[in-house]
Amino acid sequence: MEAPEVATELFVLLSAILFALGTLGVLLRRNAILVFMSIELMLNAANLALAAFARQWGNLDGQVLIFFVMTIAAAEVAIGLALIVAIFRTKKSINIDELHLFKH
Amino acid sequence: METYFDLVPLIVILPGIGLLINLFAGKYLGEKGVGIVAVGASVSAFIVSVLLWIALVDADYEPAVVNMPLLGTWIRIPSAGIEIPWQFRVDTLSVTMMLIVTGVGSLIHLYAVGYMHGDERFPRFFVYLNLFLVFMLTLVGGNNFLMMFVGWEGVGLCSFLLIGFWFDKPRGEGWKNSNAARKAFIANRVGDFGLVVGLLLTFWTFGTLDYYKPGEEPIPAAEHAEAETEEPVFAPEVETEAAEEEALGGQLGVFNQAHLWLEEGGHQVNFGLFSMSLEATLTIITLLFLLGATGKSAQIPLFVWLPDAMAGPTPVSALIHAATMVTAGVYMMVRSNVFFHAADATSFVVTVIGATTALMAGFIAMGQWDIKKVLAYSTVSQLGFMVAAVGVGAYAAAMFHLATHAFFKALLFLGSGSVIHGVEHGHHHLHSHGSGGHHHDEPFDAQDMRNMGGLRHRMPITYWTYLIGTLALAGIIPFAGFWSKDEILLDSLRLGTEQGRLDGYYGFVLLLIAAGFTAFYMTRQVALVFWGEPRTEAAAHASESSPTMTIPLIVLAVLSVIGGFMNVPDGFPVLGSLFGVHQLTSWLEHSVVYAHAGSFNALLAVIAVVIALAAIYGGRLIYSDRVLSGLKRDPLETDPRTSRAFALANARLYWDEFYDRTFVRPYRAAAWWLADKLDWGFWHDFVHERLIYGTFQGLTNLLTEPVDRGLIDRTFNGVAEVIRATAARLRTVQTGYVRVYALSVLFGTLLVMLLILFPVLRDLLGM
Amino acid sequence: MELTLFIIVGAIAVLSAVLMLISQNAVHSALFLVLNFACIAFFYLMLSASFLAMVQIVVYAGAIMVLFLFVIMLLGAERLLPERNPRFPWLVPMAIVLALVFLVAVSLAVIRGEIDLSERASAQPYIRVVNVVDQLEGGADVYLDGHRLVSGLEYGQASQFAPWDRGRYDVALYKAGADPSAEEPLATIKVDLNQGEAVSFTAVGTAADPVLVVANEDLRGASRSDALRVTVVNGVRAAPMIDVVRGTDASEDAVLINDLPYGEASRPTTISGGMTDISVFSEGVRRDRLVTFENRDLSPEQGQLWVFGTRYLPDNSYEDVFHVLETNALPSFGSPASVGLALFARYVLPMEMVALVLLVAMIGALILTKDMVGERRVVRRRLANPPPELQAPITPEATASRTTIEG
Repeated sequence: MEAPEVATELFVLLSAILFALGTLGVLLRRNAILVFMSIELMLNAANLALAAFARQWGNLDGQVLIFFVMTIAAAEVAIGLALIVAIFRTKKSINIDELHLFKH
Repeated sequence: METYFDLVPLIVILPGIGLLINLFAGKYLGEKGVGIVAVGASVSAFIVSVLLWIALVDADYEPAVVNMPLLGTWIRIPSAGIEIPWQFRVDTLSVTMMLIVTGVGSLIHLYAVGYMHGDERFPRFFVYLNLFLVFMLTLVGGNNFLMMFVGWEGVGLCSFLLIGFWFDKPRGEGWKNSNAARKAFIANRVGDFGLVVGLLLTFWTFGTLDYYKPGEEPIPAAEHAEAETEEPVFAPEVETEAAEEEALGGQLGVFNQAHLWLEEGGHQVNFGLFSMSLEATLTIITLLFLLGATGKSAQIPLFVWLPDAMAGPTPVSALIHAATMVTAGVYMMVRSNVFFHAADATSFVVTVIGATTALMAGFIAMGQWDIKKVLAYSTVSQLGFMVAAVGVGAYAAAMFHLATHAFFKALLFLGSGSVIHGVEHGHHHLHSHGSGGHHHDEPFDAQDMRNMGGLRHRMPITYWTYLIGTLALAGIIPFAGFWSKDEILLDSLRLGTEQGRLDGYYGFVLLLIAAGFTAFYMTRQVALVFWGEPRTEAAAHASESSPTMTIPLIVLAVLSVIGGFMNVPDGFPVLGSLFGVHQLTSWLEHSVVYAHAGSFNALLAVIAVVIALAAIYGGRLIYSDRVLSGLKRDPLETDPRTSRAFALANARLYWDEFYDRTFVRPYRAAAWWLADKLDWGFWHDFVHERLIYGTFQGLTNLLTEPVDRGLIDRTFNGVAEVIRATAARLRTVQTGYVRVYALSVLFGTLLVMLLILFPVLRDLLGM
Repeated sequence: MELTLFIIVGAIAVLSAVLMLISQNAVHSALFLVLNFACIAFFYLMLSASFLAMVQIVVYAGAIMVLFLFVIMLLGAERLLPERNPRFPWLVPMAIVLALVFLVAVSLAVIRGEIDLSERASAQPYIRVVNVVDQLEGGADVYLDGHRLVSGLEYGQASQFAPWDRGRYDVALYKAGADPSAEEPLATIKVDLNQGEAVSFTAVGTAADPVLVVANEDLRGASRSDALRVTVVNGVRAAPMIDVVRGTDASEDAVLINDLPYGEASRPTTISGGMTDISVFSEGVRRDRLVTFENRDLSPEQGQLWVFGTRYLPDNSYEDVFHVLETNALPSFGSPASVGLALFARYVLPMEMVALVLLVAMIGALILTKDMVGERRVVRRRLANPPPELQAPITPEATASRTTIEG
């Protein structure tokens, strides 16, 4: 294997930017589904960083971890969306600001 | 039980049982039951006394000391050599007293059953009477001074209880009774103080308070020594339980010890800082004993309680204030004859006091209207006779007079009670029949002789027995009083003539005049009560008393007649051989070391009788029938020659007023001042209220306001407030807003990241 | 070239992420996210994670985003009105600030944080075991520092290449089924694993006297397309030294491997391919031709391992054997084979656990979304201290029953 052309730092930087964008999405959007999608974005950013380092060190562990993360993300999305659907049935709203049981 | 001696505790126990029965079961027994119990107790005590008499005679007059069962030694401090046991002494002197007390006491108990009929506190009266017997017999039966003192105090208590028995009589009568009781107690207290100090001195001097230790025989007087063989001080093997006990303290009883020391001469009594000779110490002791006797036996200066004590029921007056309690002082002095014999100075004082009292009391008796007051002062006077006899050393004569006086004075008192009862019945009889214009609210004094008169027809038994008593008291031969009074007079004169003692002459003269007074005021009394015609309707309707009351009168009358024959003096014709000479004296000689027999002086006897008869005649003259009817004022009162004297006598020589002004009022003022100024004003108001309570209040206020509220409360409230405020602010973190929570998560994460990158930051910033 | 690609695709990725955030329409957001995922997949390819790139497309873009879109459609959540009267007006600026801080921090970490970015050009070393031990009953157990690499490896068999960490190790050969803690190994050898190596632990010799040989093979491919690299192991007992020659004559220019002692491996050598005969000559004066393997097709594969051995037959004769083992069974970095190998060799347990999680998630999703209307049990709330009007009236029967119980 030759030395990578694109430095690992760049990948990490990109990953950080995407992660930050994902965080902003989680914090700023009110739509629950949008929040979830932002979470997926964050996960993917992390995956990207992982892949970069795996390539850097020639260690497959990073890729294995990415694999796991993807699996878990899938599970999480399933459950999360199921929850949202279930909540939507009673609350008729997916505005996370309203998804609580106590009085303001 | 081998001899009757061991029965002596019964003499105290039996009345004790009687009083307990009446105390707890009295209200269930009824008057009859209570009476049976009380009289039975007294009679059984008398029986025991008789048995003791027999035992003594059997035992050749050797005294016996018997321990009280169940109660062992009262005070026992071996390291200090103190041993004071509960022991009875059975010797001729104590048995004499026991016989008088129980004998006359039983008769009076019987009388009281009738007298107190209908009283609402009937059982309690007999409880008190039996209690009195218990204490009186302890007094005369004890073998040491402390036991005597117990009895001394006890009879004082009973006197108080019984004088004030009708403390709840209406219209101020009750107050008068309780005042009288208090007066008796307080006056006695003064005398008791003397007696106690005397006891302490005795103990200090001799190391013991026992008369004689068990098995000890009294050392006889010098004049008897030649007549009898030298008796050993300690008799061989007397049957007493106490014989085996080791005698602690002094090896001998006080009297033998004193006797031996006096014979040695020069014994000094050490008081630490100084020492006195034994004779001087004995003088002081006997003077203190005399003080006690003036209290209990109503001599100058402490006699003032006895006339007031007449407020009690008549049986009380008869038993306690005539026959028994008041004689305790005389008994005590006779018992201590060894001391008195050795203290000539005291004897002088004793004689003077006795004789003066006799004369003074006799004088006052002549001006009294109350039937019982006359008898009271008469008692004081006769006690003066006895005391004077002790003073001149005529111990046997004193005891003789004590005995005969018990007979006829009890008789007179019971008779007066009968009279009072009769007049009262007449009074009620009147009102129940509605005759006469008497209003019930008007106080009718049934004891005032002016309301009586002519009762010899209405109450014959009372009259005749009363008459016998009067004659006995007056000293008319052959009645009892003559013998005893005559002996005293003779001994008193003898003291003056044979030993040149001034007090002997003094005593003789005064006692002779007092005898005259005695005859006079008794005649006056008999005249006012029985002779002439009834002066009031009540008297006119008086009735004779019940047999329970008249039978004792008769018995006592008999005793008053024959009682004198127990001590017929030497040289008296006929009767001497009939009854034996000096029976009582020789009987007493075994116990009273310095008892001596008085001989008979016919001249003196004749003079005495003549004076008495003259007084009687004079009395009859003055109080003739004509004077008696419609008597408003005493003839002596109206007569200008005697009016002043009569006024004085009637006013009782202003003794009470004098005491009131000198002692009672200052005492009351002091007490009031102490109570008000010292106790209430100072202690309470100042010390308690202001000092203690005020300071306390101030302290608590201080602690409450600034400290508790200001400081502590504020601190804790402040802390709580701070917490509350903080919590209120912190609470706002819980917004319930998911996005805010997410933000805080991010914030925390960044914080951690920056922390991890801290070295990098540091390098970056070039620090 | 790659850098340019990286910048372009990176920009697209960032742009799509931003658009996803900004878009008011949820469906648009989802589609932008799909585009983002595609960019990520491209990056995976760049990072030689080919397998993961495919998985990314299939799972994320194909399954997860589809699920998202379904739910969006189901809930009719396309549009969401902007927020009026936000309760926390400081939220937006604060979030942006924090995100920027985060970026700064990461940049700092990356640039100044002394991350070990040293070049590790090659991949991990790979190891396998080859068993050419004659008459070893049941096969061979080989342990690497106490870790069992193979168990019961039959004669003439080779295990798969497995990635291993660098380092020095002890390799031990046991009879099959032997307990390494109790018994002495039949043969041991020390080995030093380096990056980019493919090492075959070859066991040659007889059961009585086996020898472990470490054969290093070159993972780089041949420079010419018709050449191949071979590594030779001498397992011929009878021949202490061998020459491997092309053809049948031992002429100088036909010698492939020269002077290979018994129980040793040669270096990787490039030889030309084609049909040819291979002969083994024993070294020495006589230069006997030991054996000739005729008509071997040497195809230009990545690499080969030649093991010469002798096998004794039951009828007391021996047979010369020539084992050829391919080295191109070595999976390339990031390939499905290598990832699968890693998953199933080293990370079996976590993988199974994650699979379980996935299963549970599936079931959970089913349950959560199940329509429960009408089946919900009415839960009657019971009060601990009911107010008086709700309490049971005190009747004589009630009290009577109580007293009987107490009595």
